[in-house]
Amino acid sequence: MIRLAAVGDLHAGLDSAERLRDQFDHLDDQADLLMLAGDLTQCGEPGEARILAEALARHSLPRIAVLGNHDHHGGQPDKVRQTVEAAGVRVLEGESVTLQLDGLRVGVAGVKGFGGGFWGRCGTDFGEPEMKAFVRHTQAIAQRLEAALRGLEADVRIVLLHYAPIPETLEGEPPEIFPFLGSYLLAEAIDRVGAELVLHGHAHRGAESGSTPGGIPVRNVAQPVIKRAYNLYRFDSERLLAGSASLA
Amino acid sequence: MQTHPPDDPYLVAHIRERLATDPRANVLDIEVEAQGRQLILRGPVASPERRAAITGLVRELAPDYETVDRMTLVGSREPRHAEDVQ
Repeated sequence: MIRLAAVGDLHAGLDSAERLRDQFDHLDDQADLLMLAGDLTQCGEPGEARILAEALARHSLPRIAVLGNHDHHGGQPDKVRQTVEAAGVRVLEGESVTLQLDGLRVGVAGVKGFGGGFWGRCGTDFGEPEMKAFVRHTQAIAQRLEAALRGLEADVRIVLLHYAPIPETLEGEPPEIFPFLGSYLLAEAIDRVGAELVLHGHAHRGAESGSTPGGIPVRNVAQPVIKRAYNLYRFDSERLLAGSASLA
Repeated sequence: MQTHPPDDPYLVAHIRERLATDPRANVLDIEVEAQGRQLILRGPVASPERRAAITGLVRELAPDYETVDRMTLVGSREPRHAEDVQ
């Protein structure tokens, strides 16, 4: 049995040390792997990243993260990434990692993602350079995600995002801002390759559960949505190794 | 700092912009509703300190309004069960 803990949108600030320490107090007893779905910091300052890094350094389980839009706000996403990685957290940006847990190869492909909107109500690669740049940015991100997923050789594949791949897990947010919360291009990339679970954050007023058009479960683990320290997901190692993985 | 006269039709937009960009807050998901001479704040906040920073900033921006805090603290209790993904 593999137990995955996941949460997004921790928004660590300079005053968050005690909150984060308490939040992950029993993590090592409850999970084998921790995933953080972006917005690790409040405004992307390295000092904030250090607060989170210190809280996470106390734990021995593998920890994987992607950055979010807040982590870019301070103009130093590389420093945020380096600070968190110095605590043993693996940050993915269009990359993948494979871990051996309970005899299972657990593959994780991660990318922050970006906006653009969803089928029928989305931006297009047309018009002003700024508009084209917006759309092409997400296209490039989706291509990197697809390449990272294709590169995985794993018994279970998990996708870690900050932005949403589907509109279902945005229900509760004003529909006018859906284009700023995610893009169908992310779901399309995932459905082309396949995965067992997709996790994202970013949409604080969204819904917890949905699935891609291809049927892959999607979970919005933004902390304001799940209203918990983290969510737990279990994978049955024996069943997966027997090759009978199917969507519950 | 720009303050806003009563009945400024752009008040809510400007407050939301400042809540996003002011380093004391940097929040994107706090709803601001103007009702008469009240500004009602709704949405999740990560900590009491952040809540105080947000209400303080709104009071600075709109001193002629009453700031009403209806924000909620984000839950952080540990999970009681796990979802089985197969």
